[in-house]
Amino acid sequence: MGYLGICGTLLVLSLVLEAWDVGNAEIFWGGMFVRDAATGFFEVFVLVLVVLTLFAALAWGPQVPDATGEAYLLIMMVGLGMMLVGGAADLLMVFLGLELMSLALYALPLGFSRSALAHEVGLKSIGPGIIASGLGGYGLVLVYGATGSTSLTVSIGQVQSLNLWMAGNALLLVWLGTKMALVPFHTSVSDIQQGISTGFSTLLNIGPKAAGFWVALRIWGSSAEMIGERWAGVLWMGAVLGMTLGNLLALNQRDLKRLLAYVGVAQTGYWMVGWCAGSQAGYTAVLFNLIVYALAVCGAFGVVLACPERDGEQHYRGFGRRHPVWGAGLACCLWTLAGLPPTAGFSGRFYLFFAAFEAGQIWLAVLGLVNSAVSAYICLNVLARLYARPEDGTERAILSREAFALVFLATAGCLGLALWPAPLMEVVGAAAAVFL
Amino acid sequence: MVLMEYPLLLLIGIPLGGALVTVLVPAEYKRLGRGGAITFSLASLIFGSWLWPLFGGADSASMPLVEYYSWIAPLGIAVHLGLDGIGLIFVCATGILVAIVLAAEGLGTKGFYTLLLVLHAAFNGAFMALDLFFFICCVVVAGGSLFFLMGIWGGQQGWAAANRFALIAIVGQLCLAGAALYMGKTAQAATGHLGFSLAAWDGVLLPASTHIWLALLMTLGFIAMIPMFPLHTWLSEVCAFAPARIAALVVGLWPALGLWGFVRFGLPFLPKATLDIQNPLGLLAVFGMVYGGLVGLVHGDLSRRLAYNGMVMANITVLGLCKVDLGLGIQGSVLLMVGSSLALGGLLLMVGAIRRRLAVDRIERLGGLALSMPLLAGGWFCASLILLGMPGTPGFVGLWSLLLGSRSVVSVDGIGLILCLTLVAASLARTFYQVMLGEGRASRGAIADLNGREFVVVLVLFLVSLGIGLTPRPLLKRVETTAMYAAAKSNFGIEEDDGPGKTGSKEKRPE
Repeated sequence: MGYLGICGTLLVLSLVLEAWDVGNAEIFWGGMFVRDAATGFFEVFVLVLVVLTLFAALAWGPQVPDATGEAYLLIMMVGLGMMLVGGAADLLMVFLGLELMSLALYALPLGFSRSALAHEVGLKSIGPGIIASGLGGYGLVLVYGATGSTSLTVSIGQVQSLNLWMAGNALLLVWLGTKMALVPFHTSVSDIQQGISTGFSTLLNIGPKAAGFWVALRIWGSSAEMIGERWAGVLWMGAVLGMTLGNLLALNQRDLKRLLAYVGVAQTGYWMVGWCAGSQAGYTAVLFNLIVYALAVCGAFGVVLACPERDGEQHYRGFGRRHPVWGAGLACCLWTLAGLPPTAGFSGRFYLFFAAFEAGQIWLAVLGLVNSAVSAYICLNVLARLYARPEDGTERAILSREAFALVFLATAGCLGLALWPAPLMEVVGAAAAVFL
Repeated sequence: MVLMEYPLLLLIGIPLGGALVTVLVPAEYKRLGRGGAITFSLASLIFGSWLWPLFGGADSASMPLVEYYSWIAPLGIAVHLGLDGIGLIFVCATGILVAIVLAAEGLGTKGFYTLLLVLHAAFNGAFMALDLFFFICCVVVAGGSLFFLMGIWGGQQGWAAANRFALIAIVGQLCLAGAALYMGKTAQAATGHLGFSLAAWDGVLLPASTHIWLALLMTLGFIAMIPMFPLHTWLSEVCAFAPARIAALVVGLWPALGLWGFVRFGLPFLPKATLDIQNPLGLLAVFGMVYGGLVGLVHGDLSRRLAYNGMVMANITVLGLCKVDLGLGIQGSVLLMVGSSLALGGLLLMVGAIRRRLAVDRIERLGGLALSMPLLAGGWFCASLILLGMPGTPGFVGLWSLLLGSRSVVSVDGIGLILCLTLVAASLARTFYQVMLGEGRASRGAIADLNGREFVVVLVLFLVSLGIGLTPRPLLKRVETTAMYAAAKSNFGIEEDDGPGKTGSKEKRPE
């Protein structure tokens, strides 16, 4: 079933690539959907993510005897929801796409987990998720009341009641912030990550963040001058708190899945730096970082899938010595996540800070640099454990072909982007230009 | 041959290719792995030496070889390489030390050899970098390789030493990255092109108010490598807990990287700030020398005592950057750095030999080694003299140049220099007495002297040092052109107001 899913997704990917037209934007379905350079880019991103997640799910499958085809269906439903979000030109379509994605993500931990934490995880993901969706829906209504339209291309001239419009946008930000794990909506992220089956961790870690950020840039990217001045402080605080808290919380984590969850929170903070810049360079940097982050996280979770578990935690001490190739894969991905040169993570991080610098956000760039040092230290701490002298234990690594394929593809992507980032930066730049 | 058209890329490519080959060698063929690694390392060294005649001639340019390869074009980051006389000397020193470290001990794993060759390539890249971001990349790769080499092949405390080293290196590189970002932005505002190389920053004016901050950031970045107070704490940890041969590499090459960074990136771009910070930097160096000298005199661990002696010598090289006659100062610093790198490398390799036989580092538990290990005692004595800068060694020429470049002998740095050399001499003499001549431990029984391989390694280091010390002219000629160029170059002027950077006239350096 999983391989069938991969073949189907690759077929769709080839169709999307063939239909990728970077010319003028086309709006259809009554203004609900837009097809432009940005849509094509996001669709390719989502489809590649789905393929990588299917590899992860295939690697995880044999560990759970009752794993069935529904899991693969749910993964592809998440992909469908994200693709709807990618081309949405109307808030209603955004709502539809994001909720389709969220519903499938709620079902994954509840239905396909052998962890005792499955119900807690389900509750922690559904509870805040539904409240946030309610607030988002209400925000949508307020925006409609203030402008008389749910289109994403609303201009300042259409706003009849500024306060109402701002209140609606604030609620939308809460909704999207929950999806993105933006501080202070990050609190249950690590618990959910720890409890969910590792086969779905990649999707849970990347999907909502990517979709949330995409929508945020679609809604507010072009209206920076409208909201920028009023919300500059909020976005600034979001960036600083995200980077700092995410890194500080990750500093003492021993569980790799929890650690990667907090690294994700810190990444959201870094992306917010690009959003704060409010320029094409900033948005380009955000999208480039999104891709690099997705690849690195997929590779890291590929190794987590292979790591033996002890007491519900990954037992990765000395794993790099026992399995040097897998260890090197994790080291490469963590190096990328830390933004250390010469990886693609470094190029992306550098682009973000340069965009902030260019936009006059010098302190934000400085704080980002300081946080990058903390990220680097976190990475080195994990690597020190990974290559420490192994402890005695009977746990065996689960080295599957699918997990290896996942790690290989992700690591090759990270290294490839480190050596030749320019072509992707061009594509990403064209997509980012659409937001302005 | 097409490849010979890219000599600088080859200097990085040879060890990097060697690393790839070593990875492919099956793990059980350890001898083959080591042989391959030594071959590639020596090939890089020989190729570097082959370029030697291009430098130092009366009509040769300060940088005869330059290569440019676009890397991250949208961000203006390039692999911009340029080899000058000082860079060539450090590239050759890297080749010698890496080859010796590879040959120094018994067989290791292929991971060890691979990381050493990656380290070699990264050092070569850093010593040729003309782009500050490429320099940072190379330094991070070198630092990362050292982190793994110290941790994986160190003892129980290996990771602690690696962590301390990495933490301070990260802080240093962060400061450099901040400075690079600002300079890149200023250059872009002035010329319309984003870039981080010497060429991109040529002739761009900086606002006067930010000049000093940039200089401080750069200084912090480089003094973390040298190491200077208060970013010196990694040195003794590395010497005590990392494998001795890795410690030899770190102590030998990492400070050289810091010094070289100052000469290539610090001095040419920030002449005004360099003048402003010369006195504080000199005082910091004198403080570091006195501190290192005193601790080195009394410390009870053999390896830490050497580490503090190394700290003194590294801080003395910084004095060369604070001289009125900067060209002469740089010459002295480079010669002294080469001499102390070779001597400390040899001493630490001998510490490794002692550890392998006795598993002891405390000086009070050593003593009388000269009786059973005369070759080691002889090697130790010679290396101590080289480190101290006795006549006939590279350090002597370096120290002489430093004294000639001083304002006068009766100055803080002059007095500090002489005082600290006395401290180092006392420390080395005391160490030799306690370890080699002191009371022997009867319970220890007979100890094997240096074996053939260990003796050859020490002998090679000794002969190279002696060769440079007795005939310093070829080295001085190559350093001289670059040192004079670095001293004379002041591309980055200063704006009196706080306006944006723009191209303009250059500030004259006061005589």
